[in-house]
Amino acid sequence: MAEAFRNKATPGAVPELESGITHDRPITDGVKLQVIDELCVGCSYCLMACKDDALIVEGLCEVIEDNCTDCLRCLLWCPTGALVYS
Amino acid sequence: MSERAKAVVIGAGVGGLASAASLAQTQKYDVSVYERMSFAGGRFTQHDHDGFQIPTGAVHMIPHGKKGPFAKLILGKRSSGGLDLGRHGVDFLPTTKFACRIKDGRLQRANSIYGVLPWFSFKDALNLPRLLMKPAKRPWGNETEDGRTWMSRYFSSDFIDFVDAFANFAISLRFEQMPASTVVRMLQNSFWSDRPHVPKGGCKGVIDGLRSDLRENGARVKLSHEVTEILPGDAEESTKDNRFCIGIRRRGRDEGVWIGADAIIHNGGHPNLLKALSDDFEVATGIREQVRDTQAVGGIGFVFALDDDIPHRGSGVTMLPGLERVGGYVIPTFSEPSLAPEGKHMMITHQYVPDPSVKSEITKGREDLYDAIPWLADHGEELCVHTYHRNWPCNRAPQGAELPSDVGIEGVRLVGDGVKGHGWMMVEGIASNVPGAVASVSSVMDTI
Repeated sequence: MAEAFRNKATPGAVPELESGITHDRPITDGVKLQVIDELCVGCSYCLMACKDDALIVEGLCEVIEDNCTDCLRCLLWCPTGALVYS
Repeated sequence: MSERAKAVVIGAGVGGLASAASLAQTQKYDVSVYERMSFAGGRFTQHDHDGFQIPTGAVHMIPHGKKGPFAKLILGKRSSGGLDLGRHGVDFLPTTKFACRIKDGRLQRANSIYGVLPWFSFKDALNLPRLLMKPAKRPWGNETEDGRTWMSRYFSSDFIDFVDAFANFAISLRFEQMPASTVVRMLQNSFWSDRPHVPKGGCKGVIDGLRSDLRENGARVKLSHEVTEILPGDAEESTKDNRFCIGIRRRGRDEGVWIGADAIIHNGGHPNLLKALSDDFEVATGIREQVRDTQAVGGIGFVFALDDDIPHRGSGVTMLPGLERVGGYVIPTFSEPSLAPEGKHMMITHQYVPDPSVKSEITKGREDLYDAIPWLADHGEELCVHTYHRNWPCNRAPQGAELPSDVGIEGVRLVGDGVKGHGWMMVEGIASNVPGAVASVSSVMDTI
């Protein structure tokens, strides 16, 4: 599973996930969920998608890295491509 | 199968899906819908958050209930041009009140439009026929007067603030930002219509009904597929028998594919359509300038979880006149309890965005809400804040912009929030434009 994420998790890319996923955390060092502020519109869709309380949206989206489990559910919902995994 | 004319719908918002369903029900065309995002419904759907059905933009409201263009399109019988989605379980539930307002911390409720009148001065009631009889079925043309200036000739500021709060809530615009004829027509439409309704199962109830209908009629909805270009059909060998050749890229993949189409319904807003069209097409004179000069409106909406002890019991739209930012709120769970977990309610607010600094706008909106709603601090918990600005969502033109559905290219029509009919707000505006767009592309495909 981790392998699949490494290959597919590029900006804008949406890995097809079943709901209720459990998978290995990708182990590539330095690869993490980030927000491109210029693209984020603060719509909060990602907040709704996140099950780990790893996102805050107050104006723009911010990632709480300690809580993020790299499930990438938020990427699936981000309408503007502001969330990237790189 | 392959001999049927191919209709491609770009964008699976409520306008795109309804257009696709209309085309597919005729069984005459091969219909496909392409959607850039990973879910259908655009801003007229919802996602589940701990049992709360949080809307993606719409507020779970059909403004003109069972008498408006949206009900006519979605629930109307097929013989009268409707989609008859009642067959798929789609229904609208009435709000328990026609309208409410909180004035000086006190809640007022009205069961009909006439119930609203005693809140205002005698002069307002006396002058109401002037507003209702004013011919405004079409824009007046060359308008220089804004809605508030026109209204202030006949009505008290108390009344204007009330209906202005309604415009702020419903369409993120204040009266001074709209031409007078738009304001007049919008108020006439609201006056003569039904009370607002809540779709059964929320916005997604309607979207699911549309998708069932599309499936039943053999139409495809492809999610995570982005349209990159629209070329003439002869641009590629495989599409040379079609009028158009459309470049489509699956989200996250580099290489695109070309598909043929004989007609296009575009639900992605004017700017995106114009960007996708190749130079081979000649857009009608003035359209590019009109689109460039049209400023998309922004909006901010809070979603609150409420406990069951709130003193406000009822689901009508509640106006909060005279506030700096917020226009009003709805609690749709009094009509459709399934939108929140048992024993809880959900409140959705809306406000316009006059300043590009979204963060301070959110703070101002929050201050407004806690000031105006006395029980909110004790009974409410903020779930999220939705904002719309920059280039998201793609498809929004302010009420009164009157951008055309036809940009001068035969076989291409726009639907959606960018082309609302004159004076019809929200989904009513989207629905009022769908039948015309569908009829137009159908006639083009029928001549092939």
